[in-house]
Amino acid sequence: MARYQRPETLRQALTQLHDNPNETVVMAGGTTIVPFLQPNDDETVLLDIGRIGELKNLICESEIIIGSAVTLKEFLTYARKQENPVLGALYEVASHIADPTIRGQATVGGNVARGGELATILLALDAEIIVESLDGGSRRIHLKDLLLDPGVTALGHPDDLLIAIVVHNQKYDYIHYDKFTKSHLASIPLASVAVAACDRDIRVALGSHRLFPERLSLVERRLVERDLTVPTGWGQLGGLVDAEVFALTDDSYHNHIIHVLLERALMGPPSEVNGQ
Amino acid sequence: MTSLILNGEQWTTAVNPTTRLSAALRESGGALDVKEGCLTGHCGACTILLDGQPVKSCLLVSGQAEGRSVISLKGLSTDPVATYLQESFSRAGAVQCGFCTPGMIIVATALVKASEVPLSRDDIRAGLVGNLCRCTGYHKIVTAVEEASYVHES
Ligand SMILES: Cc1cc2nc3c(=O)[nH]c(=O)nc-3n(C[C@H](O)[C@H](O)[C@H](O)COP(=O)(O)OP(=O)(O)OC[C@H]3O[C@@H](n4cnc5c(N)ncnc54)[C@H](O)[C@@H]3O)c2cc1C
Ligand code: FES
Ligand code: FES
Repeated sequence: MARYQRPETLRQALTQLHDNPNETVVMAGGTTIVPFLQPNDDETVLLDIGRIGELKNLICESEIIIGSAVTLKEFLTYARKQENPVLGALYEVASHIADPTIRGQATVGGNVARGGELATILLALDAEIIVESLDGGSRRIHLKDLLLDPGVTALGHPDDLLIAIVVHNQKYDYIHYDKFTKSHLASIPLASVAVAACDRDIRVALGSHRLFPERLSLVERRLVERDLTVPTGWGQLGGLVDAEVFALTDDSYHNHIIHVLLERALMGPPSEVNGQ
Repeated sequence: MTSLILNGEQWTTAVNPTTRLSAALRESGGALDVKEGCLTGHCGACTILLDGQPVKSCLLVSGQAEGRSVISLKGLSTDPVATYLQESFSRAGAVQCGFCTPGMIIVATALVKASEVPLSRDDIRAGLVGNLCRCTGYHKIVTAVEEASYVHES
C-alpha cells in the first residue's frame, strides 16, 4: 500500500516533494485522489497537506488571497461575511460544487489543481496562483499560463506545490457563470462557462470538457471589437464560438451544450454586458 | 498506526494510514453501522461525523482522521436529535431496506442542529443532496427530517 506522510509545516512538505518528486502525490482534501488509491501500490507516498497552517490563509484587501488548503466550506463561511462582489461570484460557484459534506473536505487548491469549476471562474477573473518549490522558490503564475500542453499543467513539475490563489479585488461590470450537469446538481459538470467583463476587457473561459479550463481568445477578441452598447444578434459570434470550440472538442453533443451556455452568457441582457 | 477517538473512546488501529477510513472503521473498528456503497463519494452511505462535521468516510484515508473525533450512528445513540430522527423516520415510513439510513440520520442530525429556525423542505433536500436512497423516493425522508426540525426548534 501507499505510504502516508502528514507534514506539519510548508518547509517539511516542500522537502518531501524535493527529495522524492516522482513518487510523491500531494493530497489536500483527498476527494479526487482517495477513490483511485490502489491497494497494491507500494511506491507512492501520499503527502497530506490538509493541516498545514501556512496554506490556510484567507485575505481580502487589494488582492484576494485564498490558501490552497482552505476547504470549500471554510471559503464559503469567509466569503459570505465579506460583502465583496468578486468573493460573491466565487461564492456562487463554490456553493454549487459537489454536496455539503464534500465541501467540508474538498479544498480550493485541489479544485484549481485538477481544473475544477473554481478554475473556470478564476480563469475569467484573470487570477494568478502562487507556487513554490525548494529549488524554484516562490513564483506567481497566471492561471491562463498554467496549461503548458493539453493535459500538462505547470503543476506537472513534480516538486511544485500550489500555495495560494490570488485574484485582483477590482470592480467588474459583469460576472457570469453557468454549467450543465448530466444528473443531479451535485455532480461534476459536463461543461461550464465563465465570463467576466471590466470596461472593454472581456474574458471568456470554458471548463470541464478537458483536463484544464481554457480561455476562448478568438471570441474574446471579437467581443472587444464589437460595440457592446448596440445589442446585436448571436449570428456571426455564434459561428466564431462554434469554430473555436470545435478546435477544442469535436464531440457534437458537448459542442451543442457549450454553444447554448455561451449564448446564454454572452447574449444576456446587454445592459449587464456593457455595465449600464 | 492511526489513533483517533471513535464514538467517544480512544481507538488505535494498526491498518495502513492510507486505508480508506470507511474500511478501517468497519473491518478493524467493528463499526458496521458505517455502510460502504459506491466508494466514489456519491451515495453518502458511509457518512460519519469528523470533529462534528458530516464527511464521507470513503473519501478519506484513515491517516486524515488521526487525533480527531469520529462518530458513527452508534455514537449518536444517546443524542436527542438523532434519537428523535430515528423515531420520525420510522413513523414517516422513511426506512425501507435501511442501507442509506445511517448516513441520512448522521447528515440530518447535523442539519437540524445547525439551523436556528425550522428547516424548509427545500433546505432539507439541499442538505441531503449528497445522500442517495434507492427505495423511498425521498419524500418520506424529507417529511421525517421536517418533523424533527420543527420539534427541535420548538
Ligand atoms: C461526488 C463528487 C462530486 C464532485 N462534484 C464536483 C463539482 O460539482 N465540481 C467540481 O469542480 N468538482 C467536483 N468534484 C471534484 C472534487 O471533489 C473537487 O474538485 C475538490 O475541490 C478537489 O479538492 P481536494 O482537496 O479534495 O483535492 P485532492 O483530491 O486532494 O487533489 C486533487 C488534485 O490536486 C492536486 N493538488 C491538491 N492540492 C494541491 C496543491 N496544494 N499543490 C499541488 N497539487 C495539489 C492533487 O495532487 C490531485 O491531483 C466532485 C468530486 C466528487 C467525489
Ligand atoms: S460509499 Fe461513501 S459515498 Fe458512497
Ligand atoms: S431505504 Fe433503501 S436505500 Fe434508502
